[in-house]
This record gives sequence, structure tokens and C-alpha cells, in this order.
Amino acid sequence: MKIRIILKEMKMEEKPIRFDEEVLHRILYTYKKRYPKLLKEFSFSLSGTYPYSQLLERILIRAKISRTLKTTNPDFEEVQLSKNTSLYVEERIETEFLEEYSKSDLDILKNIGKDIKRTLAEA
Amino acid sequence: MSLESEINEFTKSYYDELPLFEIREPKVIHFTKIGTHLFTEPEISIIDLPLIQRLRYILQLGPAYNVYPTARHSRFEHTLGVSIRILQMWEALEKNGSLNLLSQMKRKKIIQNLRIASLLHDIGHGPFSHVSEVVLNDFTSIENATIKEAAKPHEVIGYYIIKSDIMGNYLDRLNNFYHISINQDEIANYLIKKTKQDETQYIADLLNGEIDADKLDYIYRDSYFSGVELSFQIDRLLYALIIDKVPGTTKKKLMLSERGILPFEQLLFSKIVLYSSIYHHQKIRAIDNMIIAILRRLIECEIPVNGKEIESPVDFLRLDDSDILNLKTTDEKINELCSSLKKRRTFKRSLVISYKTIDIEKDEFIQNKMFDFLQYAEYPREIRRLNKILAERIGKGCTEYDVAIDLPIPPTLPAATQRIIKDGNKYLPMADIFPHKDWLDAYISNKWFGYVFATEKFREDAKKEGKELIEERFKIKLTSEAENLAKLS
Repeated sequence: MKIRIILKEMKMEEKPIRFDEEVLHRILYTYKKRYPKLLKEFSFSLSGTYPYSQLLERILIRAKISRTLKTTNPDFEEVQLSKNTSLYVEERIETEFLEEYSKSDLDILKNIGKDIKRTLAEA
Repeated sequence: MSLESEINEFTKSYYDELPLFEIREPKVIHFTKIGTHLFTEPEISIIDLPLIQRLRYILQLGPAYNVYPTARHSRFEHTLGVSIRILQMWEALEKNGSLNLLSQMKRKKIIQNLRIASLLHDIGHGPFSHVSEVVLNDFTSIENATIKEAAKPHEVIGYYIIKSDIMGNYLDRLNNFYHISINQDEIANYLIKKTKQDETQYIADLLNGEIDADKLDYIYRDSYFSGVELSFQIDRLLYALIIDKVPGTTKKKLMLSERGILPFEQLLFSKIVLYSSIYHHQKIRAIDNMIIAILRRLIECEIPVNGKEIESPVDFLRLDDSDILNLKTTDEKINELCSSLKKRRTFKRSLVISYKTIDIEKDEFIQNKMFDFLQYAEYPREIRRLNKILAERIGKGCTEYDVAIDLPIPPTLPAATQRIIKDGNKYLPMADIFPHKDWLDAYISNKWFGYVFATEKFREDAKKEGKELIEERFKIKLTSEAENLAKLS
């Protein structure tokens, strides 16, 4: 639920973006330190060259298995969200999220998505 | 009581005092394929501990021998194999000059600690290895501990066993008798990828890292003993091992020079192929789910095994595979499941779930609905609830122990995205050299299958009710391919 809200904010439904998982792990880790309760289920191993969450990677693979997240070019470098994901997230996922969390929590997740999008664009 | 305290209490009551075996000379142990190897006196003393001997009766691949008859290697052989691989990795680092800055004495101490840690690295496993980990995750104490330590259930349990008072007392006696200096905290930390200082991260990496002795042993061993032949050049990988600093930090990690790219590729591919051919093989998943059903029923109905009920994760440490296979209880359902296991009368597929078996026409949200469904794999208690609902819908005496909705956890490849390949002055992840990670993700997403399993008696009903349940609950319509792939005639 949370990762899908983040992915939606990365605005990659219309246009594919170059994807770097390291950036996602790093930014989520930074936010986990600031908002541990909101991101309580994500644990990070600090033994590698960047903070790594196995749960985040599993979710991203499931996004690919379900084709919610698709690779779009032969080099596998760019990914795109499936059509209508934004609508689905807005209508269903965000509503479900707000049953358990606050509006400010939702805004934090959206900011994570925007941060990741910005960082990937700058890279 | 926290998991750490529970394990401390358990080790006190179960092992009383760990016996210190006074071994007078090193021993030579012979292995198929990997040859003859020497184990020191304190290592033999550790190997003789009941904690390690128990691993002889826990198979590395759980019930996979039902599909691959020769896959009968145990956690015990693997444990010894890891200690051999770790020594080979260490010697490779010595040869290529990576350890030159360390004194001879320091090197000796580190490798002594690493060898002992590798002998102890799997002591947290329950019966049928990773199969019982699914049930361990039902316990909140395990869920909390795995999040806290960012480690798997068996790693966390092993970590707390090593940190226990009993083990501390044992290691003190071992150190005094053999004049060695095994550090309890350090070897415990290695199990969960940690070290006291960033400068020594490479030591933990050798046991539990991106390229570690555990993987070198299990990938080779699982492939060889199952008969799923894979090409994986360990010697070539050893020549490429180096230790280097992560740029911008003080962290020293185990890395690879560019000559290690090919064997590293082989390692990554082998891991994924083992998943699709063994770990996620449909028949093995079906049997895994029967074992999960047995363990859950034992817990729910408070049925004792060897005179003791399973009330907490530590109770799994009293059990091995044979305790489950030879179980005779007053509970008919458990007896039936155990007897079926031994006779290989397994659960069978009623439905196969994948992107290719769902109706993607006329539903603009289908990918997201599928994603919702797949995410259930993170919540075993929720899947269990779905099982109960499915059994109720089937009726006719069907219970949650007769059906299983199975959404296997996909394999992850953290090693592919870590910057551990040193190419000139650059530190690259494999993903930058060739997009293996994405290629492998694509491979996984096409090879991944979920299932609805059932006993022969309820197979047809599970197909019909399973389809309806998934459609009602997740708004996902399964196509006839979901039945065709299940080979339900």
C-alpha cells in the first residue's frame, strides 16, 4: 500500500523513467529514521554499500510480477507504471491507507515519491 | 518475555550445561566432491555439541527429496561445508595480499572466530529448514525480532542462542582449555551481518554478505545433490576476492575485482534457477504446505511432540524432521497428514495463479488488483484466514488443513545492486555492467506461480470455490488456463 502511493507520486504512468533501486532504498531509509512508526515494517540491513530493505525489494518484484511496474526498453533500464494505477491508488489505496493513518502520514509518503523522482532525474 | 530472554531460558533448561569435549588432536573429515579437510580440536569440540549434531536430522532442502530423490543432504553437511568455504575464501584473500595490514596473530584469531561462527550459523533452524520458518513467522516475537535485527527468523534465533548465558559459559571454557580467543559477541554478530566497527564489515561479509561462504556452499551443494546441474566456477571467484573501502565511508567490504564478473554472474543465475527448479517447484511447495499444516495444527490443538507442546518459537529447537515424519498423536488429522507425507500422497494443484492465468480483458485495474493479492504473501496470518474461508466454503468436512493458498515469496538479489565490483577506480553494481538485476526480475516475474492446493478428496471443490473466492475477494477472474496448468483432469 505504502510503496504504491510512493510509486504513484513518481509520475511514471505516462512516461517511463530510468529506475535505480539504490535511490529508493536510500530515500526510504532516510524517511524511516525520521518516521519510524509510519514505516515500521521496513527493516534495513546496513552491511552493504547502501541501506537495503528486503521487504522493499520483494514489493518491487511483486509489482513486476503483477505488471503494475513494467520494463519498457530492451536495456531494461526504464520502467513505467501500468495505466490507471494513479486512479486506483487515489480511489482505493489512499482511502484504505487513511483508515489506519493520518493525512499527514499520506503526505509524507507522497513526499518520498517526489524525492525519489527528483533524485532519479538529477542522476 | 522477549525472544532473547526466552531463548536464554530455553538453552538453560534444555541443555543444562554444554559439554566441553576434550579433543586431543585435529581430525580429518572426508567429503564427496569437496575432498578431505582438517578440523582443529576446538572445532571438533563444537561440532560434537548437541546443537550441531541436531542438524544431521534437518534436511537442507526440506522435503525436496520427494521430487529429487538424491536431495537428502542435511544442514550438518552444509555447516561443515560453509566452514571449509570460509577458510578457502580467507586463504584467497591472504594470497592476493588483501590481509597484509593485519598481523599474523590477528589473522589467526579472525579465522578461528569465523570458522566457529560458520559451524554455528544454522543452529536456529527448525524442522524441514525454511518450511518451519513460515510458521515461526506466526509468532509476534519473531516478527518483532526479525524487523529489529533486519535478519531472517533462523538467523535471529541462532544469534540469540550464541548470545545466551549457556553459550557464554561454554565459550569461556573452550577458550581456556584450547588457549584460543573466540569472541561470543563477534561470532553472534556475524550471523546477522553485523560487526562492531565498519572497518571490519568484510569479516561478517565472508559468512553472510553479497558473496559469502554460505551461498558458495549451498548453491553448489543443492545443485549437486539434487541433480540440477549448474555451472558455477568457485575457484575463479576466489581469485577475484578483494577487500576495499566503500567510497566516502570507513566501511571495508568484501568485493570483487573485475575478473570476478563471470563467476558472480553464474552465482546470481544459479540462485534464480534453483528457485524455479527446486525451491519453488510446485510439488515441493505442495508438500511444504502439508508440513506447515501439521505444525499449525500441533500449535492450535496444543498437541505435545516428544512430551512438550509448541508454545513458542523456541520449542522448534527441540524438533527435527524425523520428529514430524514419525509423529503419532491422538489427533486424526495430524496422523493422516503425517502418514500421507510418508507415502507421498501429497496435496495437489487445484489452481495455478500467475499473470498469465488471470483475465486481463475489460478490467483497467487488473494489474493493481493482482498486486493487492500478491501482497498477501507478506501476511501469513491473512493467508491462513483465507484458507479457513476456503475450507468453510467447500464444506463437506473440509478443514484449513486440507487446502492451501500458496503465494511463494519471490527470491531477491541484493548482491546485484550493491557496488562491490571494483573496476579501475570505480565501484560498480552488477546492474551497471549488464542489467542482470532487471533481466532476472523479468525472469522471476515470468516464472513465478501461486497455487491453490488441496487433498485429492477436495481438489475439484477447491478449484471451484478457490476461483470464486479469489474473484469475490480480489475481483480477479482466473481463466481456464489456471485449471489447465493445474492438470486437473
